[in-house]
Amino acid sequence: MSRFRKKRGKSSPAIQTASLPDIIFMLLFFFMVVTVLRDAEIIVQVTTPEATELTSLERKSLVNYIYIGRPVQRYQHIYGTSPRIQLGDAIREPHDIRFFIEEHRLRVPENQIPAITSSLRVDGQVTMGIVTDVKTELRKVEQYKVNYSARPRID
Amino acid sequence: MFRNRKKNLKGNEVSPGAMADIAFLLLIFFLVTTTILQDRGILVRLPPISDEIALIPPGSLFRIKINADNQLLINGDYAQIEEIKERLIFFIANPEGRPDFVDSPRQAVVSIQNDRGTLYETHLSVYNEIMSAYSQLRNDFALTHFGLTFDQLDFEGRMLIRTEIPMVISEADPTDFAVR
Repeated sequence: MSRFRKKRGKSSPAIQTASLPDIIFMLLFFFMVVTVLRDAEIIVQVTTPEATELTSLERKSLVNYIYIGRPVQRYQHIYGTSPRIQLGDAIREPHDIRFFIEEHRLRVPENQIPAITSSLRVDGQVTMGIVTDVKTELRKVEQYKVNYSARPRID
Repeated sequence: MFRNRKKNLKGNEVSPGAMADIAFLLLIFFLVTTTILQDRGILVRLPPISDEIALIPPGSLFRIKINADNQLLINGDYAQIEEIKERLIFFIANPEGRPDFVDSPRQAVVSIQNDRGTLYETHLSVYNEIMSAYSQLRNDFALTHFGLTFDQLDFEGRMLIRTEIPMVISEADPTDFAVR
């Protein structure tokens, strides 16, 4: 006890600024780690349509993204100009969706599998044909929770 | 040699204040450049695949057809997207008690059929109009029966309204008349 007091008496009452950089660095690292989550390179151009009845998706670990749109200029010589499906960071065909969903299910605790949401980030100028094909594939693997990604409409 | 260096370091110490400034600068840079991607959209539940054909009495069906030129038919007549909400609310609430409309919101089924050539944008705005019609109906119900808005209600209250005014949207297989 007496020892404890002694120590206290010795320290200066001024706040030490030396620890400030450490705290800020910690914040910095936190932000760096948290924000470099978006891994997929965008191959298809997606401008989501506008809507008013929006809900925001809560748990990112339970969301997978399916992009549908025309390939960006850089990839047009490989993938053409008609609308394509992007899963992860590659162009895929509709029948690959089942593997994509299964793979996501493996990464999630079993009791949370029903909460998995597929977010369809579809370009507004894409026709419904390819979207319907994707939806049919999702229904085949019993992935029923779907989010049609959209931007808030500003009136 | 070693000692000398140590002494030197002690002599001109790096001021920690400057380090904080640099760290702050970096922090602000990261804060500004990174957009925390918040995904928002229309949450729906797809129906399971089944071969069963549900028989819906024609009077309880609100049919929306969209063709490849993004034109609409509501129950057979030409209409605009902006009309959907009003007409759907009128159809479900049926304030005039019309015999060709539904008796109670529980019976109402909205059917959307589009073409493979319909723009996604059009489809989604139609969907959005239907959702907004239902949310207005549910909100009105909540206000008249509980005196609260739908969002203010607790889980049970919302479930009760959801069973009272269920949103049944049927998406028929798309037609394929688009010229490609």
